[in-house]
Formats: sequence, structure tokens, C-alpha cells
Amino acid sequence: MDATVASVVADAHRRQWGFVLAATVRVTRDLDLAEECVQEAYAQALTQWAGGGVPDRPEAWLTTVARRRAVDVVRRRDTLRDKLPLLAEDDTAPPADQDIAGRDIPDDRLRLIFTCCHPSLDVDTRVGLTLRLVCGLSTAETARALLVSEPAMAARITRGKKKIKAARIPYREPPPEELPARVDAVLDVVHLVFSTGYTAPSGDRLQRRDLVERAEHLARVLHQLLPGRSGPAGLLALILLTDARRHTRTRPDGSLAPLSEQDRTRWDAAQIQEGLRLAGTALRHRPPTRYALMAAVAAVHARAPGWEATDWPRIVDLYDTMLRVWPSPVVALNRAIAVGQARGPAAGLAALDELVAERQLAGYQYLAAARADFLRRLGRAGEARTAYREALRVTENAVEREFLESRLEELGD
Amino acid sequence: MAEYLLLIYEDEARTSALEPADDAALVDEFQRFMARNATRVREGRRLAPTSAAVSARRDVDGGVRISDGAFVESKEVVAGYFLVEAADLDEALAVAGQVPVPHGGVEVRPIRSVRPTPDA
Repeated sequence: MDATVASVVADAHRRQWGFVLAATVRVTRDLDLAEECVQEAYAQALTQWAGGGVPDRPEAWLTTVARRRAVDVVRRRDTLRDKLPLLAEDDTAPPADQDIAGRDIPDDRLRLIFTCCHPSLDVDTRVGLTLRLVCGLSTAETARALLVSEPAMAARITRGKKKIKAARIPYREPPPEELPARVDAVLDVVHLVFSTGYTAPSGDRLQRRDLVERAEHLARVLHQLLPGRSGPAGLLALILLTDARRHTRTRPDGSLAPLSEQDRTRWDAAQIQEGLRLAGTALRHRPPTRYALMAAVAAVHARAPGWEATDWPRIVDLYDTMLRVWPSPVVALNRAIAVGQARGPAAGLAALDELVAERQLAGYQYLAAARADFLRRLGRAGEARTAYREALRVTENAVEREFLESRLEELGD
Repeated sequence: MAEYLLLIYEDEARTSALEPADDAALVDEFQRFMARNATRVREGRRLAPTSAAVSARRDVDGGVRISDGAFVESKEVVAGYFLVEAADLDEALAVAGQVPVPHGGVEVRPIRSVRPTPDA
């Protein structure tokens, strides 16, 4: 019984934290106080649900308890004439003590996400605050996710919250004219969470499933809240289509299986279906957004019966378009790799060599790894060995390192 | 309502090299900006160039050292300011985005409230 309740509460924590917190911030207008009240509501749930059973709508129960607690605290403070440092809020917002029934809760969550991802905060702080406040990760978990020390993460979160207060960063959805830029900043944060989980920057496991699930959840929330926009649909499609390969990315012995060697029959078919549908939705918008184009590339891979039969020219076209919408060295690198598949390793190597001078790619492991692969396929073993050693020097994920080492061994001395 | 100081940073070399007619046009643009934001802008001034600046800095032994020039040497210096009132940062940023500053930018700094917040 207790074990069941504990797991229901844990599940509600994972899924509903941002939802409950967002509704509570409405009452407190103070992030720290709201966090305390939500924490208490979850603690109460553990004992009360064990005695009285799990309510039909756990999130409504938690929200009501957290908000009631917040109202108490705020009233007590108000009578002491100790004015709260207010989170700036839209004047059109309904009064704080209004009952949650009939109110637009999802809108609250969107406000919280936009507050955490405000462009006046630096990107690392945005990611930290989003993981902490919207996903409910602890400071320790957030620090682990972002590969920084716990004190550094705690300081960053504190600074972020202080800036929200001191500068009066508003707790609201941005006005329509600013929405595209703000949505893009939020999508970048979610994408960063996803890529950090999909291939962990270091460590002995290739993936961090918890982060992948958080990112998918956030992308789903954003798509539900902004269904008409191409970016959220594209990002969710990208995540679903890419993550559909999760079971085939490593072999039974734990070593890395590159896309060319993956067993496509084991890709998650249901997830691919949903991803393809969403990618189609995202691509109907003109001009296509960056995430819609990335989803389109993932869709070409998902549809291909095999590595050789992949529509590589189509992928090169998509990267060409992406370079116009969102020019970046990493996009150029991916394009060069696709060129190598479409027109042969010599063409791919030529495209890569144009990027070697790119400062942002210096020390980027995938540039050296891609060069090594093309050189190997061209039979230029000596140069390939040098490139593999270069890639090994900058790769910190153990599974990826092992893969590069095995390729280096195959080349002999 | 909160107050924000919009600090106008400019590349002094470029602004001081403006033709008189261009400089007059810029002044006109500033006046239009102030008229457009009359409900928000409390005050605003253009500063004399940094060559006219003098800095006073406390010495370690408690004395004051006076030196020629701006406080921090850099290409882009504070060239003027506006004090604006806004409900929140987004509103202040919307005003900041309209400041006609062709060769630089605007830093938005919240004015600290008289009564400090508990952990500010």
C-alpha cells in the first residue's frame, strides 16, 4: 500500500510538478515560496493518500493543497505589512484567490516556461531553471544533468531567481509580436535537454533516459499549448523520430551501433508513426522552421528501409535549406556528412575539409570522427588513424570512445 | 511600477565624427523617441564626451585619487541615459528597443527599490 502510494506520488512529482508549481506561483508571485508550498503538498500527499486513498485527480488535489498553504502564508505576511517581493504579473490575470476549477491551467504552465526561458537570463540559467521549476528536478539532479558541480548549480539557480525578482521579469506569455523569438529560446532549451540525454556528454552510459523523457514531456506540453506553431510540432517530431531508435543504438554487449548497422525492425513503430504525422504538420508552415527541417531529416531516416537505400540527396537538400534558415557550423558538418553518403566519401571529405578552419568546431568530436570515417573508406589508413586519435582525444563518453577505439584497431598499425 | 535606467552605450569615435546635419537628425530622432514614450520616460540626458570626464576613486588608505577620463576605458562608453517607469522588464525592454542608437546599444538596469527585498 505504502509502496504504491509512494510510487503514485513519485509519478505525480515527475509529471505534474510544473503544473502544480505554475498554479501556485499565481498565488505567491514568489518562486521560492511557491516551491516550498508545493514541496509541502507532495509531503502531505504521502501521508494522506496512504490513509484515505489516492484522489481521482492527484494534480488537482496537490494544486489545491499547495495553493491553500500559499494563501495562508501570503495573508499572514500581508497582515504583517511585510510586502512580498512581487513577481511582476500581467494586470489582466485573474485574481489570485480564484478557485482553480474553470481556469486555464495549461496557460499557467506556459507562463512558467516563458519566465524560466526569458532572453534576459543566460542560456545555462534558462536550462537550469526549466529543469528545476518546470520539471521538478532537484538541484543535485539538475547539476548532474548539466555536468556542473552542485554548489555551482545552486548558485546559478539562486542568481536566476534573484534576477527574476529584481528586474521584474514578468510571469506571462509574451505578446504575439515577441512570441516567435521567445518560443525559439524555449525550444532551444528543450532541445538541449534532449541532446544531453540522448548522447550523454560523458560517463559510461550512452543515454540518460530521465533527461530524454523530460525533454519529450516538455516538447509535448509546448505542442499542446501552442498547437498551431511549427517549432513545437517539429521539435516533438524530431524527439520522437530520433528516440524511436533507442533500443538499437547499442549492441547486446553494450557497444555502439552506428545508424548504418542498426536493426530497423526494432525501431519503435508507434513512435515513428506519431513523429511522421507531426513532422508533416510542422512542414506545412512556410518558411519551414529549423526544428521542422531537423524533423524532416529524421523522417527520411525513419522511412528508409536501410542505410544504403536512404534518400541521401533529399537529406542534403534539407540541410541546404536549413543552412539558409539557421546557418551554423554544426548544420554545415551534418550536411557534409550527408554529402559523403550521397556523392561518395571523397566528396564528403572535401566538404568536411572546408569546415576544418571553423573555430566553433575546433575540438568538436564529430568533425574528427566523420573525417576519420571518410578517410577509412577511401583507404587512406594512415590519415584515418590520425583522425581517429584526434576524435578520441575530445570524446568523453565511454561508449563512443570504445567505438572509435575499435575502428582504430581494425585499421591496424 | 518599477524604474529602470536605460544606459546608452555608444562608440564615441563614430558619433563624434558625425556631420552636423546627421547629428541634428539624430537629436530629432531622440526627441521623437521621447515624445512617443512620454508616459514612460521620466528624464533623459545626453552626456558630454568622455574626454570631458574626470574619475574619482577611493584609495586603499582612504584618500581619493582623481584621474583624467572615464571610469573604465573601452570603445563603447556611456553616452546618455533615460530614466523610465515600467510595469516589468518586458515593458522597459520595449522602450529600450526604440532608443535611436545606431552605433552601440542600451543597457537596461533596474533601479534598486528604496526598501531592499529580503534577499536582495
